Amino acid sequence: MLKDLIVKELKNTLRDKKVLITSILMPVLIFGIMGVIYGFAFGKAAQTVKESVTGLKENAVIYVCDEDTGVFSKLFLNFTSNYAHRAVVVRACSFKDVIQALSEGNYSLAVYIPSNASEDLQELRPIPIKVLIKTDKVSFSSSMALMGILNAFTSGLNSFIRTYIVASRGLNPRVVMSPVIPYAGVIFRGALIPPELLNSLSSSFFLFAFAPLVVISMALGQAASSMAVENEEKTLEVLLSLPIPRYKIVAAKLVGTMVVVILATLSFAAGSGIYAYSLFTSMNSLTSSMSNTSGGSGMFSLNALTSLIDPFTVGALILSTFLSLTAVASLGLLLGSLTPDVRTSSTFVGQLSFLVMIPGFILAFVDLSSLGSSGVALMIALSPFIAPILVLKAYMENLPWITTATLVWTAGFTLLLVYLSSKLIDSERLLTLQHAFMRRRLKASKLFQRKR
Amino acid sequence: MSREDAVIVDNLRKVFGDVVAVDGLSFEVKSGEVFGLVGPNGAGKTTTLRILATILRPTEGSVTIFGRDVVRETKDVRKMISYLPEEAGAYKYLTGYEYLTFMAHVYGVDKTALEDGIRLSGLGEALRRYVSTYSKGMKRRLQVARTLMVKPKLAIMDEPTSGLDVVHAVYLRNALREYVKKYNITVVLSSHNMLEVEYLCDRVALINRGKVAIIGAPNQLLQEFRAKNLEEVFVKVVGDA
Repeated sequence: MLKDLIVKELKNTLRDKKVLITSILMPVLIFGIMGVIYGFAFGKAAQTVKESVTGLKENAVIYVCDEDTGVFSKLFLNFTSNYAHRAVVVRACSFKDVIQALSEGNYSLAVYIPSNASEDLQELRPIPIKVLIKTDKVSFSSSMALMGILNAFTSGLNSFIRTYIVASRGLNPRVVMSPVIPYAGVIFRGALIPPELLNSLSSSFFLFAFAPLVVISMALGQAASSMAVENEEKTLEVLLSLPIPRYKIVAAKLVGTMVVVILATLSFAAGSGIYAYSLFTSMNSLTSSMSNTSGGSGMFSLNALTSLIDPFTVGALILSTFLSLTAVASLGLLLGSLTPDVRTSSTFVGQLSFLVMIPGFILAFVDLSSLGSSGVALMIALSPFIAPILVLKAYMENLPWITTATLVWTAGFTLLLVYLSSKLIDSERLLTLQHAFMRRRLKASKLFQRKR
Repeated sequence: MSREDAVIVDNLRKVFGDVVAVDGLSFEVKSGEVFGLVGPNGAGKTTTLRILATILRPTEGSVTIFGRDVVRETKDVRKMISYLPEEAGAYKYLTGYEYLTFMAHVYGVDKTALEDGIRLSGLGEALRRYVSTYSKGMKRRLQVARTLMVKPKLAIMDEPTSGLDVVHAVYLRNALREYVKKYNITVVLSSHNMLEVEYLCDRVALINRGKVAIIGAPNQLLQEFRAKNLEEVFVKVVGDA
C-alpha cells in the first residue's frame, strides 16, 4: 500500500508542469543560461583585450612627448619599437601637448616623459611618466580592452626597465626578480597542504553554506504544496477516509517531496556547475589576457573542499542533510495541511523560509566561536533546519562536539516532527484547526479593513 | 426475521464551538438498505455522514457500523466503508484508470472490481486521460464509480449526483440501484433532490436543525401525510413541529 501511495504521489507531482518547470527545469536553465551569458561576455572581453594588444603592436602609432632625451628616453623608444608599430617623438613639449595630440591626432596611445627621467633612473628613484589612452565608447568589453592595453604597456615597460637596471649592474635578472623560490605549506589537522588550498576552502564555504539553505527551503515549499494541493483539489477528505495508516500517508508524502527535492538539487547543481565553470574559466581567460597573472586562483574549488573533508564529516553531512530535509518536509506537511490552497501555503512558506534562512546566513558569515555559548546553543536548537551548514561549520572550526550535538538533536527533533505529523494528519484535528485558522485569518482581515 | 443493523446512530450530537450541527440524532439502517438523509442546508446531513465516514468524531452519542464503533474501532470501520464527499476531487495528474487502480489497490480488491469501476463510470476512453481534463460531471462519475466498485459493506454518499446533467444523473441512479442490490451494499446518502431520494431510497430520515423530524419509507410518508412529494411531507412535518 505504501508503494501505491508513493507511486500516486510521484505521478501526481512529477506530471505537474508547474513543478517540472519551476523546481526541476528552471534551476538548470537559469544558472546554465546565466553561466553561458557571463562566459560569452567575459570571453568576448578577453578576445577584445587580446585583439587590442595585438592590434597595438601591428598598427598603433604612439605619440611620445620626450623632455628627457637621455638614457631612459632611449630605453623607452627601444621598448616602444617592440611594442607598437611606430612612435612619433616630439621634443620641447608639455603634458598639455600630449593631451591635445591624443585628442585630435590619429594616435592610439600617448606618453609624456619628464625631463629628469634619466636622472631618476641613475639614482634609482621611481620615474613619473604619464601614459594616456583615448576612447569614445563605454562598454564592458571596450573598458576591459583599455585596461588590458594599459596593463600590458605599463607592466611590459616596468619589466623592461627592471631588467636593464639589474643587468647594468652585472647581476642575473631572473635571480634578482625572484631570489627565493620558497615552498610554503600548512599542516592542517595532521596533513600537509598548500596555503592556497586552505584559502580556497574558506572562500568556497559561502557557496557551500548557501546551497543547503536553498535546498532546505525548497523541501519546505514542496512538502507544504503537496499537502495544500490535497485541500485545494478536495482529495484530502477521501484520502483520510481510506483504510490507510496515517504514518503511511506521511511517509509517502515525505518520499515524494524528497524525490522532487533531489531532482531539483541535481538540476540546481548542474546549473550551478555550468555557471561556475563558465564564469571562472572566462574570468581566468580575461585576467590572463589583461596581465601576466593566472587569475582566479583560490576563489572556488570543489576539489579543495572534497580533498580535505574526511569520511566521517562526509557521512555527517549526508545524514544531517537527510535529517534536515525530513524535518522541514514534516513541518511543510503540517503547514500545508492547515492551509486551504497552494497559494496560501506558499505565503506562509515564504515567511517561514525567511526564519530558516536567518541562522543560515549568520553561519555563512560569522564564526561559531565568536557567537558565545548562548549563541551556539541557539544554533544547535535551530539545527534541524540548518544541520548541514552547522556540521560543515563545526568541521571548519574544529568543533566536533557541535557536530555530535547537532546530529543527536536533529535526529530526535525530526522523529518527533514526523510523529506529530502522523498524529496531526487526522481529519477531526485538521478540520478543527483549519476552521480555527480560517476564523483567525478572517478576523485579522476584518480588523485590518476596519483600521483602514 | 429482521435483518442485521448495518448502522446504529444513537443520540448523536456534534458541536463546533458555539454551533450545534447535530443535536441528538438517532436512526438505524438495515443491512442492504438504501437510506436517505433529507433536509435543508445546515440541517446536519453532511456532518452526520462525516461522522459515519470517521472524518469527524461525535461530541456525544455513539455510531456503530456493522457492530464496530466509529471512534474506538476506526481502522475496522474504514475497511468496511467507502465515502463520497459532496465536493470530492481526484488527483489531477493521474488518469481516470490510474485513479481507479490506486483505489482498488488501497482496498485490496480484485480486477473484477476495477472492471466494475470502469463500467460504472461510463467514461470509456476518457479514462486514459488525466483527471485534470475532465468536466465536473465526469469527475463525479469517476468518484461514484470509485466509491461503489470496491463493494464496501457501507457506502456513504453525500449528494451522489450533484453536478451531473439529467442524462448522466439518471444513468448513475439506475447503475447505483442495480449495483447495490446486486452486491447487497448498504447505502446512506444525502440529497437535495427529492425525486432522487424517492427513487433510490428504501427509507428516509427527514432532518431539521440537527434532529430527526420523521423516518419512514418514501411511499409510506407520502400516504401518511397525503402529500404529492417528499418536499410537501417535509414542509408539513417541520410546520407541525
